[in-house]
Amino acid sequence: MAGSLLAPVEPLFRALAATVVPEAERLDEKGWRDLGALVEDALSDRPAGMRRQLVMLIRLLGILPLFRFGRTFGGLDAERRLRFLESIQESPLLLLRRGFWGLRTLVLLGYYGRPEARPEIGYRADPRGWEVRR
Amino acid sequence: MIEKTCDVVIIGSGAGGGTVAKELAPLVREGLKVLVLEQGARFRDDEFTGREVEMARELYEDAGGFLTADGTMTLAFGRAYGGSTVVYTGTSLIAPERVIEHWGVPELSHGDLEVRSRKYMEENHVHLLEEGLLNDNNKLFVAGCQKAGYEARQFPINVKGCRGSSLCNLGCPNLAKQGTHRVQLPEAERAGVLVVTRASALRIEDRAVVARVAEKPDGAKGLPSEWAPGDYRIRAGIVIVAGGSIGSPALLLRSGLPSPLPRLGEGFTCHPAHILVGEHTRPISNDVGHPKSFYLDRAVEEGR
Repeated sequence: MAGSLLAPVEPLFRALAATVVPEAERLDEKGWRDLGALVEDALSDRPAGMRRQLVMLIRLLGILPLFRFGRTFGGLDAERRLRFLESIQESPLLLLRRGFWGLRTLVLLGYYGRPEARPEIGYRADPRGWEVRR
Repeated sequence: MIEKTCDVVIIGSGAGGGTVAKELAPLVREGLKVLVLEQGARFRDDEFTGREVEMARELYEDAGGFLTADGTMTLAFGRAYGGSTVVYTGTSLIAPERVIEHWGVPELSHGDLEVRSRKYMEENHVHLLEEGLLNDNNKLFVAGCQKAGYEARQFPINVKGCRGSSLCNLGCPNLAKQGTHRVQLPEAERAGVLVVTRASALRIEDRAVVARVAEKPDGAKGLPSEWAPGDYRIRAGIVIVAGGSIGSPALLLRSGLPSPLPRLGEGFTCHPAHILVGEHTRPISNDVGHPKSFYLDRAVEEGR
């Protein structure tokens, strides 16, 4: 992720991603790189302002738990991380809900967009269709 | 700005624009120039791989994640030679009478629309999929509707030689879907209509359209545009706006037309896609077979 948009917030992004998709904890370094590349690619033609906002949101999600749990996101255990993100998802602030929804969508795209994730979820779509399934 | 002249400019090549192009094609034989501007690219048959990430990026506006202004919803709509007819599931219904009445368009009657729709259903090979090609997911939907007291109806779809890849929304990799990219546009082009891809209409002026032709990005799929990259002013006696329910009003709003259109930009409707997940005792898959074979019209079922 060096030189990329997410590089400055990489550990935090990974911690957030693994809370959204717990299976991501099992990814090796290549898996994380592939996930990050899909996210970066999806962001590549988005406006610069939106890309900056995403990085700001990730940073914000890193420090917001200080007010509730007295620790940054990185210092929370898995259960508290999940509770915190659920509270963001239900936040009365539209801006936060909207931002988290976007981040969550990108994480899902990054994780499940990898070809390696297909067998994990039993996804077997094939252009040959019925020919290979009957 | 490069100047061009023609008689009719059609903006958009999807269900609306592609169909109009084909219907106006006989005018070319009479010496008129008919031009279609399409924002998306023209793809070679072998470029439809069915691979999710790459095809979404190529075929959809903002890769299918077009964000509404308030940022609360994403919309998925096609952007290609053939518009959204390239990426939808081929479902081909005649607009219900109640919808046409609600629109209240002067001189547009449901009866007239039905006759025209049936003509295109025949041209585009619209039919009910054979029962042996229905997948378990769709059969379960029918059973679920029945159990809930509703009657699911089968979608007529416009496929020819469907192999059941389930990848309709990524542009059929088997070229089975009979959208305007397979039927109306090729016919129009054979008759002399010019289709210019990668051409975005920026604004409409008095009897002219200002458009920008984009260069093919490095590494992207699709053919380069038929015109050199750059800005064009295309003078035309008639401009037909068929850029879809998002593109058309946006273009008209950008154009600042002199005559007021009081409802412009209002009344947008779309169908939200929700995911229903259930646990079953055996695998129920939607990743083989046509993915959307049945529907439930609750407005009809509940008499609304």
